Amino acid sequence: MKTLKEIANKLEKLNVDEYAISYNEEEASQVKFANSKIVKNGYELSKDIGIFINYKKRLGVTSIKSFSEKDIDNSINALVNFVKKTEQNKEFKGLSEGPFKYKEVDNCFDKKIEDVDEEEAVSEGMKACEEYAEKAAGIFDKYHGKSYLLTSHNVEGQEEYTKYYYTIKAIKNEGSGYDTFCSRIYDKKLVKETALKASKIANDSQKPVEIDEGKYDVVFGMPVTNILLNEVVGHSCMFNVESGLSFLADKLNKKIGKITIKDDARLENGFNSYKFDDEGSPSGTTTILDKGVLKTYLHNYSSAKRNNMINTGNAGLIMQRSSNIVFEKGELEEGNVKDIEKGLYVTNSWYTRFQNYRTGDFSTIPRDGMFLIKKGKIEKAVKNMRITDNMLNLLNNIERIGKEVKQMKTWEADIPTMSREILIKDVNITKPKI
Amino acid sequence: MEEIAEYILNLLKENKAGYCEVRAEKVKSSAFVLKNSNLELGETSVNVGIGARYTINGSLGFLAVNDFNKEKIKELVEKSIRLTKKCQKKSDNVSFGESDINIQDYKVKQNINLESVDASDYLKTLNEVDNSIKDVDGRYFQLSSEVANKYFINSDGSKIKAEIPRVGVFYLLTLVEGSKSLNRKGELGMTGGFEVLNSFKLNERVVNEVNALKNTLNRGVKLKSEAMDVVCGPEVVGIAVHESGGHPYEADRICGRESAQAGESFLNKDYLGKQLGNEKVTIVDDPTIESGYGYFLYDDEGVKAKRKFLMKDGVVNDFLHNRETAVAMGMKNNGSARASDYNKEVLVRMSNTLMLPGDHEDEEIIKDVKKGVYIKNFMEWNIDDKRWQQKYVGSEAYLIEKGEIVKPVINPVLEITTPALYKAIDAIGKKIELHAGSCGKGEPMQGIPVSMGGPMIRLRNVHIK
Repeated sequence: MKTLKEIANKLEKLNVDEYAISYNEEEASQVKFANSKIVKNGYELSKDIGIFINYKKRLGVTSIKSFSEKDIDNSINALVNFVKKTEQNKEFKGLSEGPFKYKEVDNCFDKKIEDVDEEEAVSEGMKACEEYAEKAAGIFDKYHGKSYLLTSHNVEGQEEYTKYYYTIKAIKNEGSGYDTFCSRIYDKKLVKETALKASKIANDSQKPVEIDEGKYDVVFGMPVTNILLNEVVGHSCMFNVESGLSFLADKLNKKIGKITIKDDARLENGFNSYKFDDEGSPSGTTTILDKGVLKTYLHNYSSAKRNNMINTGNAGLIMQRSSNIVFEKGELEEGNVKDIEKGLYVTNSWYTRFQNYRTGDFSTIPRDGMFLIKKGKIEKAVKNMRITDNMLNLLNNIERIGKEVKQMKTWEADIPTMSREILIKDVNITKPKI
Repeated sequence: MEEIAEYILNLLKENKAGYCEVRAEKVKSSAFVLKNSNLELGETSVNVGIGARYTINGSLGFLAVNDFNKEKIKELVEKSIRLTKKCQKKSDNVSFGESDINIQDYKVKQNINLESVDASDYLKTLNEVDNSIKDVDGRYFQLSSEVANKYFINSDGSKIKAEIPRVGVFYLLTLVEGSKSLNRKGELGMTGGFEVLNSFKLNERVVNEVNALKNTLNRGVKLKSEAMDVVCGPEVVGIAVHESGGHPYEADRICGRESAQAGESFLNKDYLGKQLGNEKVTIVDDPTIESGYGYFLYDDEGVKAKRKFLMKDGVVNDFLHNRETAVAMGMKNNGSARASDYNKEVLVRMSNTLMLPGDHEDEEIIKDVKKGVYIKNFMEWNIDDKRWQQKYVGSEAYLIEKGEIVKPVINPVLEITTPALYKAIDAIGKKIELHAGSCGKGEPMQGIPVSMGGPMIRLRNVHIK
């Protein structure tokens, strides 16, 4: 904090109008495995100072990775000189005004994570995977860090965090299964449970066949729900709405389906929970969709003021960022999502890409186990199909949500989600003719 | 930085590492975000750090640091070595084999040095484009430049210094007409100095694209699902060769190393020598193309870069390798190792991937189509994790009848398997264009600059909707 105050003094001497200075230091390790062997381990120590300035409405940021007094001075001078040659951000309304009192978020630090033996955890997962599958690939990551924030608006904050993250793909012949979790608190049983689930999917996904394209009732596995909701919440960020790149633009107070979706930065044990956002606003819980009705977009101080809405504490200083996604049944029922006459069960997906951000037309391509369900039971494994639909349609057609909840983030959808399986009616499924 | 790199290499040697290498990087960068005529933000940063990789009895360790305090580095190296030894019993017995010793120092020439240019010079270009298309509803531009200085040393004795400057532009446009709307995304990037930005002819390019999309919004028709000829412009050819003519040839996917993240490949060693595409089709990956966004002369393992023929005359010819996969598959390394930052592990990556030109004029390709669609550029795309079936959705596209372009088509969809795509090609143009992209792989995700492209091509009688 002493260095941050020295930086603040220097910025004030250079007549900077507003600033936010952050410092993060982190120790991280990773063990990566493939073909049921450890292929790499990694260890990283990182330190980073981030500076945001408003100089006569010209906004600039820099990242400092070299910490001698001379290097810091050079970076500050370079930033201010750089910003002077830019142009005014006519829409910027300033930073959040402190001071604030910050409440701890429960269960976001666990000393035990530091002591977790990565090699043992990975070995345990690979062994559990042998129950149903032939080989496994994945990652075990753990992190311990501290972050500090100081702004020109009476904000001073600091927090310490631990996190860990595990992902596994189990493989058997042509079939594969995937599962993952992330957490702030160590839970010994999670690795084994996750590996077993992935290996069961791999075991079930033998001899997959192609089926006809068309409309299917689709059960989205938890990783696919994570992907879908990452898009919904990403499109609720005001920056995207203002850019014309959101299917939620013009939908405020309108009803889109029946579920409730929240951004919850105060989620107990939430992988991305925080006490304060990037400008120091205290974290909160924001209901985005309330029983299907779009209640708000995600805001920082400036976007909220500009749009006469409430700051949701989701700074990013320019582009808002989501914290953790939580969703509830809303007007729907919770239950066995696979209890359907006929449909598809998609356990994982990737490459979610938009044809039109404004309308929400998109496609995503399933990977790992995919199954045809008949009369509530898996009938056979399926391959080479694609979900080609519209995000608003999907939200409107969610019919039931599962009871089981698991916190996860996936390779392309890294906003942690308290995910569940969901049943969506009449999803458009396509495939190549040749 | 160089002294610290050597200090780390010596520490690893003292700790009885087998093969070891150290990459020190200093990247000076600037970036701008312009949204609907409003400059949201400018960024200027210097990213400095060192990454090191080593083996101990076949167990592969990686460490990264940006605090150059020697005592702290020593502690980090010791911690890393403890973990590497612990992982040994379950390790994949990684070997880097033998490689040439290279000692080189190279720099990409900048006609206008990026560090001599003011922020206002960059903004002039963005403002000019934005002013030309003020009637477009959504206008989002990102402009970035960087000068990356790398210093690489390894225990074999290689020592490579490189300075590579790059400039890139990304834009996303939203056009709305009543209840109809269209998006267009574009990405341009090259290696070089500030002169690169002028060479993009950004204003002319974007204005032409906007006019074409306005025409599509007003006059465009949706296609019925049917089989017909499809002509693809270089941008579409580029994404196709990147996704299904490049990624499946990455040997670390083939070996299963990236299985849980970027996926695997339908290819394996048995495919080498087999006909997968039309004999007219040759696809190369070539880091040595000057000005290519993925340019380098020595890869991130210090190995000399070269052109690799992945598909030659329609036959699967070679895979992309780093030292590790070359040993694992018993093949020859071809210098395809890249890492996006000092703190990311080296993976097998593409650089500049393209289909080589054929013998047709573009006009001839279209003239010989009775009924078909010309997809000039694209918006949505994706491909499965074994690179078997892919989808490309046109942004600017036209219906062709009796050899003539007759009217615009709204978002035609080509959904096709990889063998069907490359077998259906019956004509390849003479003129090549390269487009830019950021290719994602690894965990944490490594976005890396690449070029991709080729000439205009024609697919005969494929399904489109």
